[in-house]
Amino acid sequence: MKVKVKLVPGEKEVNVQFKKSKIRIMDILEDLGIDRETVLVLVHGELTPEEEYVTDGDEVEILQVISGG
Amino acid sequence: MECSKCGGRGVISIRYLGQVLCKECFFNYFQEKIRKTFVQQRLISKNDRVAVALSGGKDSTLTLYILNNLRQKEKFELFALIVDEGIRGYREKSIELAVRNCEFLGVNYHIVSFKDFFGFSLDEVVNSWPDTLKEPRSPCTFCGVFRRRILNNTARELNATKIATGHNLDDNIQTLFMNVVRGDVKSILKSYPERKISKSFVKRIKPLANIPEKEIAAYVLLKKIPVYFGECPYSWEGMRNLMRETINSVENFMPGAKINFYNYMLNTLSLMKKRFIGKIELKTCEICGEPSSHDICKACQLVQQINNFMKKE
Ligand code: SF4
Ligand SMILES: [Zn+2]
Ligand SMILES: [Zn+2]
Repeated sequence: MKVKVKLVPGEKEVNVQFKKSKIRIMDILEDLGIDRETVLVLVHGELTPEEEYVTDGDEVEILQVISGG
Repeated sequence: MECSKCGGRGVISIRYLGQVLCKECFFNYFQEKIRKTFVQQRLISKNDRVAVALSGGKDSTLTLYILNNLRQKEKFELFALIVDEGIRGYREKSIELAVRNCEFLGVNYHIVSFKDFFGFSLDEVVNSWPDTLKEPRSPCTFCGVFRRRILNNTARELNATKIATGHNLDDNIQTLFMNVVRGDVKSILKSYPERKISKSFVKRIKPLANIPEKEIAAYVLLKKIPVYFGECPYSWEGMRNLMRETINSVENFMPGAKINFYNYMLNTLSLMKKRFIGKIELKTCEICGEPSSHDICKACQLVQQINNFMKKE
């Protein structure tokens, strides 16, 4: 399966591919090397727990919310 | 995923509770935690005049909203202090949001700048500080010392009885670890739990001290409170970033580590304080007259150094 992931801020889009047909959000984070303590994840615009599964065609947004200052 | 409490649609996973919560249950959980803090630590009393140190970011903005909400039940005065360090491309935007939130809530605000108070902006300091110096400093060092000075003096002038800051659980543990590895017992004792060591210092309160940063971000997002999520261009304080990563790794390995550690420190420090009490002696700064542990306070030392570099340019 393939999911489109948007990274905010920066509005960068990356495609992540997995062999399985559905995966957890936390697997995507791990794949991208992002610490779950520092982000919030939206699926189709809704805040979603990292243990939730996503599948082909889901829109995932990763908001970087931990910053200095 | 279902909410562990009501079966609704889960929005956030609170790993240290082993629960997933829906929006409503998360709001209840979050608000109850904060309510407890106010009651247990008696953060606010009647006739207080509270200055919120407001940056426009999520933590301080939420602190403002919480205190403003509390005014419906309790009688106290509230205003915001906005410090403009002079960081181009960053602070203008966050101040704009800070002001917008104050106006929306009907809270008075005062903006004080480094430039007006000390004669230079943080940008100017960073640009004039030579890289060749033996003691390399992160901009955060100046920023922190100067910001605290401005906040305290302005709050005092405006007759505030308390300064409320947005420090969260993650900030507190990072600072604590930084002081621990530096062996700086004094700094630790001075800040945990808040204790007044001089009548020149306005008492500080941290209503979000036991709330993980991620929960604050989630709450602000779900409540649609307009906050600035930008990052300070100077926020590369190496040590703090290292601490953040390290502490988060521990939390990921063992959810609950952060709050456990925070509670452990609070308990230990109250014991330590009994032993060290009275050992923190304060002098009066020869230049500015503020309380200080040295003959010349940290802020005045830095100002002198900076003025020297600026003259040489
Ligand atoms: S990140 Fe450092 S320089 Fe930037 S506002 Fe915070 S303390 Fe100041
Ligand atoms: Zn629920
Ligand atoms: Zn001084």
